[in-house]
Amino acid sequence: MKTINKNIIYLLTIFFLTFSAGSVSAQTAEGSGTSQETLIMIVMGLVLLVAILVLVVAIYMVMVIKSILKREEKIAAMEKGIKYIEEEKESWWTRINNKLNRSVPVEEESEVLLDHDYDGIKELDNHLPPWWKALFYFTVIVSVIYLFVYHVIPIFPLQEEEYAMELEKAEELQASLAASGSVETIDINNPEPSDDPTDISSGQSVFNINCLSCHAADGGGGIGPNLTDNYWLHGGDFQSIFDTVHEGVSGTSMIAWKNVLTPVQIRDVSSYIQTLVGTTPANPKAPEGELYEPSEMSVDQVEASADTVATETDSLQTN
Amino acid sequence: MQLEKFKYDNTIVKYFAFATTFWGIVGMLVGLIAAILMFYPNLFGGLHDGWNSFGRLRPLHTNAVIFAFVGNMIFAGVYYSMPRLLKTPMYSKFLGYVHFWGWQLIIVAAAITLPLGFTTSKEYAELEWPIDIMITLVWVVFGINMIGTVLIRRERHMYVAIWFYIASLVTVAVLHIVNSIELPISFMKSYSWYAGVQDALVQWWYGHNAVAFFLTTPFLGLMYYFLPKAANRPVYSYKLSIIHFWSLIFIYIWAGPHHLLYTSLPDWAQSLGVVFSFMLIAPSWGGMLNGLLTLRGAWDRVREDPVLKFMVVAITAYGMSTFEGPMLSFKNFNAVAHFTDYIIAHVHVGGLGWNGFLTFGILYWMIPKMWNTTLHSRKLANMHFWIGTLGILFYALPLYAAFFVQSSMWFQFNEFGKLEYNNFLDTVTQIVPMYVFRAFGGALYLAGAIIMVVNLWKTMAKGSFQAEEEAEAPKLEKKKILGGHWHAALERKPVLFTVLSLVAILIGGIFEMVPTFLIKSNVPTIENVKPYTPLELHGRDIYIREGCAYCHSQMIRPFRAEVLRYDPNDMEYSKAGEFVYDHPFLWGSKRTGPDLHRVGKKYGHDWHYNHMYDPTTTSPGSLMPSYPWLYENSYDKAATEDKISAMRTLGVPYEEGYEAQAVADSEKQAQEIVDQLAAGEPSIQSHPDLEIIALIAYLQRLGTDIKVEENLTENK
Repeated sequence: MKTINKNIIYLLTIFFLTFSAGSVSAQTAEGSGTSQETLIMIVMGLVLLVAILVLVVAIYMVMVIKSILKREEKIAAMEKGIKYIEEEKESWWTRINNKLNRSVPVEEESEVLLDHDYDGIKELDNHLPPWWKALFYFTVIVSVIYLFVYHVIPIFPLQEEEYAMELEKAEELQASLAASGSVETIDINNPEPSDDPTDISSGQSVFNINCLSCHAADGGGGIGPNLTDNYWLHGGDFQSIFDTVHEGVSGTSMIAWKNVLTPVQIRDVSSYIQTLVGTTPANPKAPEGELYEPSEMSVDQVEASADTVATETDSLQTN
Repeated sequence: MQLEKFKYDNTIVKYFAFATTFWGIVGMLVGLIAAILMFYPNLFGGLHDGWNSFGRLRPLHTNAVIFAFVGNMIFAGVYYSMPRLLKTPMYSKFLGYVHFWGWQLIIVAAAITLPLGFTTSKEYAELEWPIDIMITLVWVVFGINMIGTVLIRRERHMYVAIWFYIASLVTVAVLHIVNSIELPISFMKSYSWYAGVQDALVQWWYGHNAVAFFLTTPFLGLMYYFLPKAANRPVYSYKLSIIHFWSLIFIYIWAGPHHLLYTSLPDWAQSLGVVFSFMLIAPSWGGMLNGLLTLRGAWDRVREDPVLKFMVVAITAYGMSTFEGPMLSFKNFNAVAHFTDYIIAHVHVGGLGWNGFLTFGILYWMIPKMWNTTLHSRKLANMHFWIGTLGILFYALPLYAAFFVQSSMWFQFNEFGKLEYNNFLDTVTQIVPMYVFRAFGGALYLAGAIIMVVNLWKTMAKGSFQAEEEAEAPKLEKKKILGGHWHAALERKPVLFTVLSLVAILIGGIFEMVPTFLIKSNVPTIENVKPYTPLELHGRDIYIREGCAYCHSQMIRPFRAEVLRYDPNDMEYSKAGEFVYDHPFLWGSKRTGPDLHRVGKKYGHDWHYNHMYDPTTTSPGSLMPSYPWLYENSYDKAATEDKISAMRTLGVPYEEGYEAQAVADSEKQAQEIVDQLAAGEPSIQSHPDLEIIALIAYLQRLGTDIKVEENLTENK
């Protein structure tokens, strides 16, 4: 008994430990995200665990009460001077088991003992457990129905159809988002940089998740170019930065982020990138591309001065 | 009636039992190392080399525990139980030893070649063609010895254990031969005969049924012998034995496609996989019920006897994993569970629980018997039991938690309909603590096994080995028996029985494979998909050699979450027609890292160059090992022509005589990559003969063919 209790406690501790480790880390990763569903799942899982725990405790209590009662009866019997005879009764478990399985009781099993003897192994000829048979029939029937509704009269969608439906739903969501006006929308053809500190910090977290592996945490560059100098491969004005992030650069490691990030996130990260310009990174990569001076110069003028790469301009902040 | 005297040979059983313990410890140790590498890739520090990297140790672990640990246990159990059940010595002692040494030779060959990188990449069938041939030959020897024994028996009817042995024998033979059809291009290198979708179907028909007919049915046979012997109770139901045996072997063989749900496998084949997996619950549980109900009236002894304790947990674990299996086969659940650590937990509940614990139970019973003594220490055996059980829990529960985290993060959208965790790495770093727990569980389990070795060692020292046991039985007279149970008639006719079980297991495979191979519409061709260039072919072989497919899939399923994650540029999931030149297929079965099917052209060459040298430079926190040897070794240019002509034989449309030009083409493409690396900023100096260049060429090609047209129009 003692070992069993100990093990139940072990088991529960382990389960709780691993489980809470999982949920805690999942939550921290979400940050300010809104993964309502995950949260509900976690809560439901915890509720289930507690329920199981309660059940275990309850069963244990019943067992304890039963053994106390028995002990008291024994003492009472001793006091009266009569011998205590334990009730000879099959446990409910055995009874349910025998009923469910339609087993021949152990005491009567000689009636169904077959005359085989294989190296001392004998076989009984018990019935197939009725619940087992029912389960088998059930799975066969469900399987026939399954094939029927997916392939004969295709009521349920197969994978390509399911995918099309999923895409459609996503488009509807986009449309409803745009229509409701509940979320900030921006014109991707004419994005405006933001200097709102919340936007900049949101841009920074987007940068830290997605960009630092190629551009370094401080924007000093690595596989991707240095973002802190005034030289730009694909244009240094806000629209160009936005477009580069949005559409990516074919044939390089810069993917099109439009499917990964929302326009607002791209606006934010582009705004954040502009704040990096002029800072001093730890390991700056040599300048690449064309000099862009964010003064009143037009794009044509920048292109005209493209050859003058030698000049290093000092810190130039956009705002 | 005259009694004949004969002897049971215990020596061969002893050999196999020693082998199973030895390889068991080795296999578990390699598994533990692999588990540690998954959260601490730097385990080997300066000794990190090709042979001890995760991608090479992983197949070593699976092959060792399946074919060496479990395999030798099957043979030990068969060589012990068969003679006793059939009242005859084994057919041939000599064949027994050929079988034993042949099998150990195969294992040693595997233990040497897998770390060296000789692999076909097909899971649980990684061994290269010369070893495949050895396996076939040894299996034939085993088969002759087994069937021979059945034919010279003195017991008229075959007991249920023998049915399971026979079904396992024929099915493993069929599975191994069909899945191993490959075209050798040199000693220790071959290409699978099948390509893409077809290769995947054959492989998972094999993979699933290797679990069924190597890990399950032979062990059910062992259970049917050793459990009633150890419990000293009659088997619960003969009827149940019959029904669950035939339904199990017939239904099992169909269920393979559940490993390929939502892939490019045709829908009808996937659905067959789903329903046959579901129908498998009852037949599987039939075995569990017959085992557990046999213990009726012996439960008081289960509490005390470690042998029975191990067996009960084994059977329960069997029941649990055969319930999980069908649940995992449902499309909706499979969608979130496939590629996650759930699958790893699932197979280990089966492996550690069912196979491991049954093996331990049998050894604790059989060794004292053969040494004519009692177990050295019951206490130690009980300790082993509890440590082992804790080990299983510590192993499985963290991985269930890991699954929970993975599946919720991979599919999580934010309110804008974009992925909440678009950087795959975030989902990897979250589960590191679970991997630590898992390795701890594995270590506990291994510690338990070591305790067993000590205990058995002391037991053997205490007793004296009985090489032969005398027995006697009357000769089996030829006579016609009429009437009786219909199945009893079958139990008297071993040849007919063997043929019928062969028919039962062939039906499912034929039904699924023949249409997939013959009907064109099952794999719609895509015109743009062209054969790999010679350099890409070399790179692909490096990808195979390094076991990349163990952690990276190449199969983007048609879910918005996957398409967005793995192909944000063009939003294309993987199509059947893209894999027609893939000998073998490399879809993978686990995503410890992200899917790579659309990685081609996603990053620059420099990204891959840096990434493979030290993954943390491009992906901080990555668990991927580094591959410095790819930057020192040259790819096997001399094999280029053989590779091209082998591929042509397999149906890849290289022009006749292309071999002459292949090396030059290969060098040209390599030079282009090297030039682009040098032109980058910072400039990377490399050499066109290096393996890394070939690997980059392959990775940059992946999944790009269907985009060729778009690229052309873009360039205009």
